[in-house]
Amino acid sequence: MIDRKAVKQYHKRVDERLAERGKTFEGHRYDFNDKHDKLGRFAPKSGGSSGTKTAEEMSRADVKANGPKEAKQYVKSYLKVHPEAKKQIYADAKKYSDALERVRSFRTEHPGAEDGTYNMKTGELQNPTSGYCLTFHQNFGIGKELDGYDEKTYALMTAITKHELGSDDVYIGNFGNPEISFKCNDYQKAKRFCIEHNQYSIWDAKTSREWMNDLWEEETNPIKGRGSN
Amino acid sequence: MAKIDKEKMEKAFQAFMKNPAYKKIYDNAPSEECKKYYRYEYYYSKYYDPEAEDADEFVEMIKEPEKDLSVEDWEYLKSKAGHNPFRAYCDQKIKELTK
Repeated sequence: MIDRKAVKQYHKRVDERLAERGKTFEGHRYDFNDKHDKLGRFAPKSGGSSGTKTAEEMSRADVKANGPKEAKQYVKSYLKVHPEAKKQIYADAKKYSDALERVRSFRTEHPGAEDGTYNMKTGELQNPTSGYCLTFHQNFGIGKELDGYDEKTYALMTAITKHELGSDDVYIGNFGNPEISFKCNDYQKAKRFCIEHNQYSIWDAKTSREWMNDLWEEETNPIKGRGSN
Repeated sequence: MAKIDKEKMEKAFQAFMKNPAYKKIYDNAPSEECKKYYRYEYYYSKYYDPEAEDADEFVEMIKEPEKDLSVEDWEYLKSKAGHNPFRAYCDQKIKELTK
């Protein structure tokens, strides 16, 4: 069940912090009204009559309220809003059907692998020297980083993220806990995606610096070594 | 030449300090030099524009506090680093300072 109060409070906090900088939220935003759809989800105020969220209405607040399982709904609404991409997304999802398993087994498949960004399929070390590296993956908890995702949703999220960010390939970032990684050449798009998916940062491969998301919320995406962990 | 705008730097700092996780990292930094490093990083995160004419100079300017960091500072930065190549960068700096 969506914790409506928590989501509203979260939206308010984000809006206040952005307003201080004279900005408004430009990413996906899930608006609420008092109605629920037949599955018990909140129906959006606008942008669709079926009561199913559209990708434009998604925000990381949904994940805050629901955990990574909300990815399922993100996938559903994304495909609804982007029917033109459906064929490609499904084809890519098939290609990346083992994405979750590859991330999960990276350490055992590549014992002693040095820190770096690896091609997910070939396992080759491919540290990018341009673009912005980031992920959609939200940790369920410390020591439970891969919990909360199922193989199919993870594969679809992989395909959608690759499509959304225009990533040339899919990678595994092996820095601490291995995690799926993508490369985006558009700085603004990368930053927006980072905020939407409650990531704490993106990595600028050209400048070798980290863009940190001050809107990151630790409680819904705890990172080992960061904040209180 | 890129130059730090003190007012903007303060704004960036305040924005990050509103986030309890980032505040904790900053407050526990082992030295004033390390805190200065973080302040520059916040400034970078808020105001870096890769399309700007002085983008390269901006990045160089942001690196300025690094020269005053100690081994302890780099170790702390590494312990708080994200899942990205910055960890290796910290290792390299620690190695250079302990030669």
